[in-house]
Amino acid sequence: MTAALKEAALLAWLRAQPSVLVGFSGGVDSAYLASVALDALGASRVLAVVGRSASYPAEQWAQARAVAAHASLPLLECDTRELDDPRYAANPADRCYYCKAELWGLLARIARERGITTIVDGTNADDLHDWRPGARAAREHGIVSPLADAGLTKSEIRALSAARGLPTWSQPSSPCLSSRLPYGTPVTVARLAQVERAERALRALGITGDLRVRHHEDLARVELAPAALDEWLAPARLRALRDAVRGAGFARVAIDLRGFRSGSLNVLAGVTAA
Amino acid sequence: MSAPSLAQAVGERARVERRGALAVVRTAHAEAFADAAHRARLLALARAEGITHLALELDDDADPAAPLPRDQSAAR
Repeated sequence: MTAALKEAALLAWLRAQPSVLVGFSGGVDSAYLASVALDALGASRVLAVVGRSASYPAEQWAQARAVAAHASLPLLECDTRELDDPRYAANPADRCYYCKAELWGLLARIARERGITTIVDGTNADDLHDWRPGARAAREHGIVSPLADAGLTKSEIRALSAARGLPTWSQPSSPCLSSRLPYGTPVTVARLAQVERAERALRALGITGDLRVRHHEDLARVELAPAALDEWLAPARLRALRDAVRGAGFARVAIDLRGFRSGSLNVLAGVTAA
Repeated sequence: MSAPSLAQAVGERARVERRGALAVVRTAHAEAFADAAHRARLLALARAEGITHLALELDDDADPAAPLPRDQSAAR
């Protein structure tokens, strides 16, 4: 089935809903889903809700607001408290479950209070093959994933977003900052802030593509898009990269020689295959 | 002839530090790792040793007078 046909199926499904609440991050998937939902139902029957906590960088809130404003999307911001949950803060391999249980519990309450019938998220068809313990929390709260149900992959969502003129179409994926901490390393506000500062400093150096600063206690391991490695392994650039990350509070800085890998720490922990 | 270990391949101007499945190559000579073919070879050797993540640390404290990494010397 072509991407256009999948979008038509998505539109038809959304039109059949009385109203939807979109779990919104301002990222590629949820921005696209919210845009299609607006087409299907109009602004009076769509509400995007963004959950804020220390596990997402400040830039992401600004971006979520900008994307919502660009699309004239009604947006509600609320604070989530996953870091207060010791089961989350201990950072087990199913950490995402506790985060999503908090988020979806809060969004389900908001939907009930406002009489919104359906809660949707931006899970896409590619995500179904990934390690996603948060999906269990979504099922427990009756969250629907219409992008995945329509079979829409990330690359198709990017193409359809570009066709809609969404500014998010080429945006790198941006999972939460806790994904930079190896399982078993406790999630603290201080560690998350350290990663956030380091990634912000590297963006300020001009790194635009995929970027993760993985937190190995004293050591920051920087993952860049493989195509960027030749440039950033040149001694002067590497020195600038190291100094920027040291400035964020890491004693040691290393650059990963394979480059960015989604779910890299799942591989390191043996949760998924190398 | 058997393949060299990762430590042998990086030569005497670098040290390899293991942290479980992560290995960090510490060197003052980042230029020795600048070409993709050399990195690919090191990654292959690392995989053979059960290393899933290989990273390079620019370590200015390393001895700048030490000989070049073995396979880099051979390439020149």
